[in-house]
Amino acid sequence: MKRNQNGIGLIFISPSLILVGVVVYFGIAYTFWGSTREWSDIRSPSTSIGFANFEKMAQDPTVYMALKHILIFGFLTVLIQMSLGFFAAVMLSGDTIIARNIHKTFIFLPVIISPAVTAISFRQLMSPDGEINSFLRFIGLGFLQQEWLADTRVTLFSLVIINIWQWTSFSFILYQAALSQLDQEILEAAEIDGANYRQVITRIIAPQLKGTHLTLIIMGFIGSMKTFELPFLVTGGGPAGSTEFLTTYIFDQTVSRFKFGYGSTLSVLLCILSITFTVVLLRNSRQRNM
Amino acid sequence: MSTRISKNKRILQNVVMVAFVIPFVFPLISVIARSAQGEGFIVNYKAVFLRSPFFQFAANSLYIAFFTVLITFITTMLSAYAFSKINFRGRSTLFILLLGGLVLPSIALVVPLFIMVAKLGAFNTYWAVIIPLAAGAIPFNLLLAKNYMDSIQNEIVEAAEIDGCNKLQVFIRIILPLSKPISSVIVILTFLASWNEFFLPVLFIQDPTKQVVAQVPQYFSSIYTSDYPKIFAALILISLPTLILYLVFQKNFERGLSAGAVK
Repeated sequence: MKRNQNGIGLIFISPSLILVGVVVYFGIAYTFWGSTREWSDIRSPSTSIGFANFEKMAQDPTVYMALKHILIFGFLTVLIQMSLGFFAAVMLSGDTIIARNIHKTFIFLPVIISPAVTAISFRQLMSPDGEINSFLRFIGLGFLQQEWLADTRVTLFSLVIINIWQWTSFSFILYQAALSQLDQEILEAAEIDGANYRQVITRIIAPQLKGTHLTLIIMGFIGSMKTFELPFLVTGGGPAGSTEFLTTYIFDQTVSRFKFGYGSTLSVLLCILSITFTVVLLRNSRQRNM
Repeated sequence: MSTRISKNKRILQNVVMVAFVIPFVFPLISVIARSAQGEGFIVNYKAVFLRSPFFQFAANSLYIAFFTVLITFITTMLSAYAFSKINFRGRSTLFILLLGGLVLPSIALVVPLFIMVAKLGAFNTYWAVIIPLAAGAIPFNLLLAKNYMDSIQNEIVEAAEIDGCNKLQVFIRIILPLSKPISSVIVILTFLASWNEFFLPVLFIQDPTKQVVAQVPQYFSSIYTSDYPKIFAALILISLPTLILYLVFQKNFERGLSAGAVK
């Protein structure tokens, strides 16, 4: 019986394996190969140039700018989305809040809206005479009004705000699910021991959700490296490169300028960063748990 | 816990919660309000329906979503079953290999995708979008489905095999019916991802008769230039199908998003 299982197992997984193999793994291999080529026309053959593209990348100021943006964007969005999501999940886990389902629905809705729709909507809402500025004036916070998408000191943070709006619900849902699996007896025991509300949350609940924190950190940072629609559709990477991401730069080099070789090199960088980041985080967390 | 919270604290918490939710709701209300400005609600929505290829775009998106869901569902369920219930050599290595796709940003594959599509002459075909979408959807859904199937007892599978079922029959008669909850999650999430996909259609579909809903806003920007109420009406109409889907299957959505990640 054991002997037959090798074949049948492989047959069942082969459709997935072929699809992922061809698109992802062949794609990665091809990208690595492409990164060593000078190549600016699909129809004409490319020529090998060794690591010249990597040398070019190491001296390309746009790359460093993009990396800085990803780092700031990733750090802020992950931190704020996790805090807000955790806060909302804890608040809505008890029965003190009236109409909990309505709150949940409103927090959840942004995540199902297409990033393209979100991007185009916020481009209007964040214009100087748009709804965001009017709202700030209306609630008496007029001094917070900004040229959200024109002032190069603010643009990246505007994208952070939009991302938080769209993705907080994801943290919220994960925390909510994790909270529902917590052992109620531990919480009750802590209260009997005289722990107050804040202590229960910071000392007992938060440490027990380590797995969820880790998942959100990994997915958040990978998400920020993948972020494309927001800068592409809201600001186009501008003004003055203030919202350039590695993804928008790859798109620009590959699709707009047909620099397939250099585009591949940038893609290799993106792949290596995503993989390294995930492996390092997973390994660290595993060591700490042991 | 709640019984010990004073009335004042209760009111305060409710006020804080409402203040928390307002920033999430405000943009939605603004977009809806904006879609009723200009020539008015009815004229704007009518214009989207009658004077634009909205239905054409929606039909194209449906076509892409249908085949992406179909391919993703069949391949994911089959392989999740194999990884969960069949012992074969290289099982854990191959599983990690497939999950590796989770980490990689699809835009990092833009060069090979572009070249492959060009070589195959697949520009302006839906398959140029469907195949990469399905390949991208497999890793996460596989994780969801395998986690779920692990909770199905092996005894049930073994009993069916003693009764003379082969592996495929076990899959169709036992595993699939027992996996209904996770199946709906996979179908919904994959539909959502393909309906909302922007990057792949922008890359590969330029023919205006073949474009998809995620491209509608750009299409409208070019024909209505600055008639934003109509563009916003289009944005809302694009989002309606996913909104309805969410409201109908709210529980599945939440369970699905968390099921894969909590474990």
